Amino acid sequence: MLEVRGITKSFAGVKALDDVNLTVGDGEVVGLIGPNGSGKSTLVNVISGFLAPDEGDVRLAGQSLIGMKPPAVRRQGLVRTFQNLRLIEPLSVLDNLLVGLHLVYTNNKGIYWQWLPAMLRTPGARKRDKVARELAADALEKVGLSDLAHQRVSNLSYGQKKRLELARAIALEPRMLLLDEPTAGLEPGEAHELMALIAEMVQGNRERGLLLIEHRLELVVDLCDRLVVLDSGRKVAEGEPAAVAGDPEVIRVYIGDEGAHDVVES
Amino acid sequence: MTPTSLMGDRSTAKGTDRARRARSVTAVLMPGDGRPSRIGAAALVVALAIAFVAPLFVDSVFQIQVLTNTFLGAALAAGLVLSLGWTGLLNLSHGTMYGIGAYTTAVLVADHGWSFVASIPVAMALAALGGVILGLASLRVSGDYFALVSLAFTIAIFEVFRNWEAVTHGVEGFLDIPTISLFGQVLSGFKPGYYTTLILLVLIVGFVALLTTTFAGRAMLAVRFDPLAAESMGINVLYTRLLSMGLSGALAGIAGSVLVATVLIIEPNNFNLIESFNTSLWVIIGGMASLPGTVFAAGIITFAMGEFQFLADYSVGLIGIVVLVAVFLRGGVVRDLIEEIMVRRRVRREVAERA
Repeated sequence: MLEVRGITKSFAGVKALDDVNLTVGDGEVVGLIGPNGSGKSTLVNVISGFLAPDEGDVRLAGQSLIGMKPPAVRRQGLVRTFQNLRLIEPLSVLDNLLVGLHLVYTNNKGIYWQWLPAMLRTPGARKRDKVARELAADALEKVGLSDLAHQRVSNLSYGQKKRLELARAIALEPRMLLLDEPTAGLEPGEAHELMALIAEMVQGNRERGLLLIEHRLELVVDLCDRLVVLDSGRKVAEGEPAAVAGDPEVIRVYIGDEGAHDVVES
Repeated sequence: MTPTSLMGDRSTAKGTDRARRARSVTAVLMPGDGRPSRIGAAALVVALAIAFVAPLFVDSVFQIQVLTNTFLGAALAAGLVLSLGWTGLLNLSHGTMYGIGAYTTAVLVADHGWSFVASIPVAMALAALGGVILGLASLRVSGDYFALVSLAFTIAIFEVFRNWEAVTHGVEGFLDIPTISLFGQVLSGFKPGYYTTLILLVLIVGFVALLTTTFAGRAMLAVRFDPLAAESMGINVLYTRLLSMGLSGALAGIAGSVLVATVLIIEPNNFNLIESFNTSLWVIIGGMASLPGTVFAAGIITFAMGEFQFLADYSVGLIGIVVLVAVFLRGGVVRDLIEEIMVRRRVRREVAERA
C-alpha cells in the first residue's frame, strides 16, 4: 500500500504541492482529480522518484521511496505512465513492451550482467526471454493490440499508443500503478473506451493498488473507490466519489476553471 | 473537432502505405525481431565465402592490402555501433581506444616479452576502461557536449602516445615488433594479415549482432531515444551507457591488438583525431543503429579510398559532402538505401502475388 505523507514541493518559491497526504490501499482504486496546474503530475513525479520533495515521506508497503531514483522505485513494484506519451517510437510495439519488461531479464537488478548469457543464448536466458514474450503477448491481448505487435510505434494512432503505454505499465503486474491522465488528448468516445479497459483491468486484478490521475471528473466517478481533489497544490476534498462530486468546494474548483481546461485541452 | 483527434485521423489516413513500409524493414531495424531476412543471410554467406577464397585468385599485394584495410575499417565501425549507434552517445574516441589496445599489445609483446594471446585481454580491459572513463562524462554532459568531451579525450590520449617516451617510444612508435604467431601460424604479411583481419571482422560483427538482439540492445535503444522512459521502466541508464562504452572500447582494443600482430609497426599517427573521427562518421553515415549499414558504409568508403588515391587525397572534403548528405537523409544514407530496396522488393512481390 502507498502512503504519501505531508509532501511539499516548491518551484522558485511557488508551492506546487503543499502538505499533501494520500493513501492507496492494496486493491484500492483512488482517483486524483483537479484542474490543470493543480499539482497532480508533480505529485506523480515525486512518488515515482523523478522529483525530490522538499518535505514529506512516500512509502510503498512500509518502505520509504524518498531518495530512490526512478529505476529503484520501479524495482520496488511501482509503475507510472506519462501524461504525454513516452514510447520508443522507432521500435515495434512488441519491442516497446519488452523494454518495459527489462526487470524480467535482469532479475530485478539495476546493474545487470545478464547481457552475457543473453548474448550466448544460454538455456536460462532463453527461458527468461520466453517468459517476457509471454507476458508481453498477454498484455497486448488485454489492450487489444495483438495484431499490431510487429508494427512500428510511429505508425500507431494516438489512441493505440495510449493503449500500448497502458499495456507496458501492466505487463509486469506491478503492485502499485500510477496512471497519469491515460485519456489525455483522446476524443470522448475513445476516452470512454479506454476507461472501460482500465475498469476491466481493475476487475482482473484485485491485489494491485491504482492511483488514477484525471481532470475530467465524469470519467472516474464510476471506477474509483475514493476520490482526492487537488487545487493549487492543496488537498481540498477527499471521500466517496458521489459525495466528492457533490461537494460545493469541488464544484467551485471545477466550474471556476471549466473554461480554462477546454482551452488547454484543445 | 480538437487538434488531437485531427492528428489521429491523419495517421489512419496514411496508415496502409506506411504500415507496409514499416513491416518490410522490421528485420533491418528492430533488434527484438532481429532474425536476418533470408536474403540477408544468403548475401552474408556468399560475401563471406568470396572473402575467404578471394586471396586464391588475387595476386596483387596492393589489392590484398586494400581489402585488409577495408575489413579493419568495417570491424572498427562495427564495434563503435554499440555506443554511438545503439546508446546514442556521440563517441568520437573509438580510434583512441583502438590505440590503447594496440599500444598495450605492442608494449607487452615487444618490451616485456609477453605472448600475443596473453596481451589481448589486457588490451581489451584497458581500452574498455578508457571507454568507461569517457562514459562517466555522460553524467555531466549529453548530446553535442559529450562529443566535445570525447574530442578532448582523443587529443589528450594522442599526446600521451606521442610524448610518453619511456612506454610508447614517442613519435617513433614501435618499428620492429617481433613476428607474432598463433597456433604456429604467423599473423603478419599480406595473406595471413588478410585472413587475421577477416576473422577479426567476423568476430566483432558476430558479437555486436548477438548483443544488439538481446534485451540489453533494446535497453540501449531505450536509453538513446528516451532516457526518462527507460528509467521509469527500471533501466539503469548510467550503467547501460557505461556498458556500451566499455564494450565498444573492448572491441576497439582487440582490433588494436590484431593491428599490431598483422603489421608489426605502430606509430601515434595511426590513432590521431582524423582516424577517430572517420570511424564515427562511418557509423553516422551507415545509419546510427544499423549494423549492416555501418559495416557497408565503412567497408565501401575504406575500399574506395584505398583503390583510388585521388579520393584519399581529398578524403576530408569528400567525407564532409557525404556527411552533409547523411544529415539530410537523417536515417543514414546506406540504411535508407537498404530500406528503399527492401520496400520496393516487397511491393513488387505483393503486386505479383495479387496478379
